[in-house]
Amino acid sequence: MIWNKKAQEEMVGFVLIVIIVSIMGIIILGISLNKPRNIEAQTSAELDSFSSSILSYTTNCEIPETNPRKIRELIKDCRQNDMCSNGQSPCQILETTLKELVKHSSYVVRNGSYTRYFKISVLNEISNKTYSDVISPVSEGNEQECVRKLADTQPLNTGLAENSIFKIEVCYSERNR
Amino acid sequence: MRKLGQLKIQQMVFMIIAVALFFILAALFFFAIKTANLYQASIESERDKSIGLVIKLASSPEFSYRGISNGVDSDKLMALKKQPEYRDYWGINGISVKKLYPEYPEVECNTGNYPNCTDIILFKKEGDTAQSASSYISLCRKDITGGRAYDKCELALMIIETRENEF
Repeated sequence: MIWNKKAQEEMVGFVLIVIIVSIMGIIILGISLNKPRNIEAQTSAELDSFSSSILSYTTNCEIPETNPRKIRELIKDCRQNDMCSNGQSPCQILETTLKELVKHSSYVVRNGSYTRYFKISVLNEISNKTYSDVISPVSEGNEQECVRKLADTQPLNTGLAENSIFKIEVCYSERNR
Repeated sequence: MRKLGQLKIQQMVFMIIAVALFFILAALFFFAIKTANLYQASIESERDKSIGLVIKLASSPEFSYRGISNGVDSDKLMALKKQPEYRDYWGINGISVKKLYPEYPEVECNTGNYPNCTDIILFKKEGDTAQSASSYISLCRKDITGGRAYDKCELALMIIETRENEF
């Protein structure tokens, strides 16, 4: 009888250990699965070259006494509320040109295209690591479809007090192009 | 007493097997989740590698436009187009540039229609099986507005063709 009782006690101990370890495992897995899936861990060379090319693009906005403005310069003009010689605002031209550039690239999102989500933002640092949009972001597709997102950020040395950044985010479909 | 010892050994063996199985299953589950994106990452890495070659080529002195990051001089391209000796200089099967925006008539560029054209084909060797890689560039040239010269840069794609597995 004494042997039997001892064996029972040990069985209970064993079951308890298994239960405790299982619960710990489930908690660890739960935490790791709950981490955000869209980790902006990588930037791609393609995205970087696209981003640089966009910033160097010459627009049709001419500020009097200057050459036609590049996107990089137009962002500064937009923040300074300048006016182009054709009467349009730099912010308006910036937004239209960015949309057109995306439309003519491989990043256009449509049925069957490799790119599932695309967003360009021009951000202004208002305080430490807090940003506000300079123009409304140019975006296409559904961000919820992204499993893994790539991002490219370019600092804009506008010479103004606040720091500005040009940011492109993209995610592709799972299948190969 | 001997029987009790055997029972204890049995219990210990069962416990070790159960705990080991549990950890093996947990590790398998963990690695399955971790490697889920590995295939996608490898494709992107391969693409980046081939694009790197295009970027390297675009920044070479024969193509680059001074003062513009990722800029390629379209006037240099038009000049190189007339030099057949450059066909073997880069060791690749073909180099071409396609203007994406703003829109121009979709024709190959020559001295008669340049810059109102889209495709600048430097050279394209026939015969070999080739694969291609492309990268975005700023295609720049000097233009004039109001009597002032300025750098006009457009969005374009530089495409190179190589033999299989050359990347």
